[in-house]
Amino acid sequence: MLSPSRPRPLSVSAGLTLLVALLLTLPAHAQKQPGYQGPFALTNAQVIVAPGDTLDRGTVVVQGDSIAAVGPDVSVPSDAQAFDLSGQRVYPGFIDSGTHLGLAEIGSLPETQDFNEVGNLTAHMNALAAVNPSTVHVPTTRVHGITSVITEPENGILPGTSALIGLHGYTPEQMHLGDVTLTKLNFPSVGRQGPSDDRSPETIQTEAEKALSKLNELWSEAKRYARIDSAVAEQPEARRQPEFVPAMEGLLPVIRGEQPLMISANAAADISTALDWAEERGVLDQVILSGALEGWRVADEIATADVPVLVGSIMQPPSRESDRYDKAYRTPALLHDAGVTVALRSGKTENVRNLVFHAGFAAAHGLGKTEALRAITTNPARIFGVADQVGTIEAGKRANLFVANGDPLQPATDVQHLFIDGYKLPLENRATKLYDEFLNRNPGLTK
Amino acid sequence: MTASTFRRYGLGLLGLVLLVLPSRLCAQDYEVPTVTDTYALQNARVVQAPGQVLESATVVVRDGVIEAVGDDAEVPYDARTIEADSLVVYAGFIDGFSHAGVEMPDTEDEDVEDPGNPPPDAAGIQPDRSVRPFLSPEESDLKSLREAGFTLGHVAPEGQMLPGASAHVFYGGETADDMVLETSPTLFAQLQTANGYVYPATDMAVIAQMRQLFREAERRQQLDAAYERDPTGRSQPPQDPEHSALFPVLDGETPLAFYADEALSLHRILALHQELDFPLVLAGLGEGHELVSTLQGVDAPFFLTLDLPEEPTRSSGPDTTMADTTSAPSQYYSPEFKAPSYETVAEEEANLELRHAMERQAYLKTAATLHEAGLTFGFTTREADPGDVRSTLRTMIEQGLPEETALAALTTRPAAQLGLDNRLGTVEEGKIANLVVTDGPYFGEGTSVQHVFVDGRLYDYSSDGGDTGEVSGDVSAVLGTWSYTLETPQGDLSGEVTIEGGPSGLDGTFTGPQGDEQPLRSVSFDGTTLSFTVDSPQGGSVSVSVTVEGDTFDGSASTSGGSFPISGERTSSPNATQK
Repeated sequence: MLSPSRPRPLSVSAGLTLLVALLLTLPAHAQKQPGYQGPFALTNAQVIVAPGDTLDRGTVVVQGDSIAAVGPDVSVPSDAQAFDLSGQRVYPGFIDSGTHLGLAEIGSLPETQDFNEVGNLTAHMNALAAVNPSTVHVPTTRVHGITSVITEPENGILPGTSALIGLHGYTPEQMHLGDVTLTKLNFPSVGRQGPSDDRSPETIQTEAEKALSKLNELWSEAKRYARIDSAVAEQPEARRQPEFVPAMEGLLPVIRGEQPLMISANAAADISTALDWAEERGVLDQVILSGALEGWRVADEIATADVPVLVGSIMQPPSRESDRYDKAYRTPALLHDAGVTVALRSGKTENVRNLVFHAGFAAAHGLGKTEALRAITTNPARIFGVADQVGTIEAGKRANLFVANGDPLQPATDVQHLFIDGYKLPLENRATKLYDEFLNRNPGLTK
Repeated sequence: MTASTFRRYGLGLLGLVLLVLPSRLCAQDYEVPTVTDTYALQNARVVQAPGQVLESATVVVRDGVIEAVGDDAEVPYDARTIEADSLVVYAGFIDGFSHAGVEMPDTEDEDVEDPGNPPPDAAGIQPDRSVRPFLSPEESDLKSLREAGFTLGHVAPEGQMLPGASAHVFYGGETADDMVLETSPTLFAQLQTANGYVYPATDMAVIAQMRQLFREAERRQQLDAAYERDPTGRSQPPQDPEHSALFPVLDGETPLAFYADEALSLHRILALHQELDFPLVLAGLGEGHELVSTLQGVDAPFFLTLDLPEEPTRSSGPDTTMADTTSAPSQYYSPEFKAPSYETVAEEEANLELRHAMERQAYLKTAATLHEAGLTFGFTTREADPGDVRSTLRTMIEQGLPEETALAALTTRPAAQLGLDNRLGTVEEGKIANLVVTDGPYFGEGTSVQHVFVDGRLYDYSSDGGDTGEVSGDVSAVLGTWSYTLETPQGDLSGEVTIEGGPSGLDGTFTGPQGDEQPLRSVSFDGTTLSFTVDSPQGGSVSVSVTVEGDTFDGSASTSGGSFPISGERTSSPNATQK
């Protein structure tokens, strides 16, 4: 979304001059070195191969963009840069299942918010197209071991497609992980929306019925569009293309069963309605539920529907005043206990790094450490269909992993090294630069 | 904020209240895009033209045109199929004359310097205007007429004696441009005096002014022709748009379309027509039964009004006196009857009511009378209430107008009269896809319009059936006009609600603070609780639920933005006050 008030980029020559000036005068402030690929050997480390599967002392060899070998007696290639990691742990990179990373820069500047397109039916908007690979928030996110995120559009009933991106790359396409694209549906609200919603029960019901019938109409039109499109494809010479309806075009992959449908719903009534709706339309097996803050109220229904859930953000008060203070923190555990596959989402832009603390809260509120780790590694990898590429430290997978000096869900733990697609990436970021500068203020605050 | 600005912006505020929390509304306030313009109505009873019926046929509509009609018509790959087994397809109705879809700008009364010789627009002489810039697809009469089955009309701008050029207008479309089939088929004229104390202020002046315009236009045409032959030695002919606009009328190419209901006006127009010899279209004819023989000698398309006199109401309730039209009436109006004393006033009253009924009867029979006299006519909805069109047609049929003639007067005849019969009027291959789809014979009592196609665009009314609320208890407790006050955070808003109907169902109108009227939907009443829904012109809807106690009510109005207290008081009821 290019807002008209956004300043025009500097002209190329002016930009170049500026760049040269920056390089000449401020080398110390630029990122010291870019990421580089190995081979690397991480030796003598405790390797968390997968949540619940720990190698007490082992070696991980990274070659090119992937993991070449993992094990207690793996030989270190002679050309590998070796790290002796005694007392440290190697984890698979974490995955945040719902953010605006790359789509927003500064919260108070509307010009930098690219996840909110105007209009209700914008299913043809692809979040990936708007991702800014050089956003300052990516390095800030990596410091806590997060290596991939879902980044998603927001506004309207069909805001567009979300994408799974790796947090290293200089073009959106480089970052796109496993071509994972999910069509998002903000399910219309059918119930009371909170304590401030003082609509009468009749109004709520009529508005809900109206919203649903509108959605049904939309879906049947989309199906019709797909049917016409297929009919034309059969005899392209004899038949003419239907009028191009972008939103309908955007829904084609979902209608044809080729793309998952990420349904965002939080209230219990909305979730059950959404599940029934999806079942009636035969798309239940494509559905991934997102948000689901009241999912615990209908956990059995979700489990029966066999729909995975991207829960969060759980760091908030409960949706109803009558609920226990920790209901939101406990939601992942309650869903998991009912048999639902749970992944965690922070729902953030600047604070995606806090995903580890969300997981920590979930772990402490009934989910347990292992399941909490699964919710940010293997579970999202499986839900998004990239379990063969990420989520664990196994030979052949993408080298998305990091080294920490303790439990990464604990705030005191530091990440020492981080690798994405085999690139060893520097961990400095805007926050560390500010930290370094202000720690060594000169002349300080003496006067 | 002063009271007057409040009145002016009040409804906007109501809209604002509705839109304060757009995030809640946004989930439903969108148009589902149409993915195909191809439709197939399968296995329908198709009335191709009056008297020409296919019992089970498929109608294929594509790109605004009827592509195929027949029992062997193939359903195309890109069609949206409508199962029409129990439905009847008619050609879309054609309105012979109306102002549907026309939204004239508010004109402010300007002081005319010399009222005896005003500028043309102040005098109402604007034949150079076109209806085109005043068209809007959102105009409410247009929508109601479409719902009644009208798909195209001969539409003129509003004004005084010569308001401007008409157009053949589709009663549907997304933009005003979609609506226009042809511009300037006629110039609209009426015996209408100027606004305010300005010449022409009387009928005699209007007629004199017409005559003057014609004479002057004729003169200018001659000057133009002479100047074109040889400009040397001649001054340039005078030019102005008012006279130039009349040239095609003088040439016999463009008719003047007059609207008049009263017999006297009709006579005056016909006299003018004879005198000035212009091509004529005559609409209205409300008192046409008074001048049948005169009309027989007139060569012009006629469009009969679909407005009939209402039954009068009496202190004792509605007057149900019927005129006895049998050859040997059991009772009849006696013009000689005089009440000799106060004791016989009731007799005089009965005599008078009988006279009213007889008089009304003549109007109800007008269509039949004209038909029996061999006159062909279409219909005009200009003075009609769109919601009453079907019952009016039923009355005309009851009074002797053959059903097929009524259908012809809605379809084939106006198509021919307006010169559009090569494109409209029947359900045939190649015609413009203007269709009315009903769930039974159109003139039947319980029939409702399910779909209307206008230029190939589908308007679906099939889900509107659930829009009537349940009614029980004594409805007289709610009938009438109520003033209401709605308390919103932005201040109080007030207006009127009118509830009409009877035990079989209620409806009514909601007048916003700005004077804007909206129909009530789903009006239900159970003896104490009255509830209804009103759509806001800005989008969204308000559900009102109130408890009625005597002549006051109290309750709440809920929108998606929250609930607001509403209270009201009955200002008039049909029993208490008389018109």
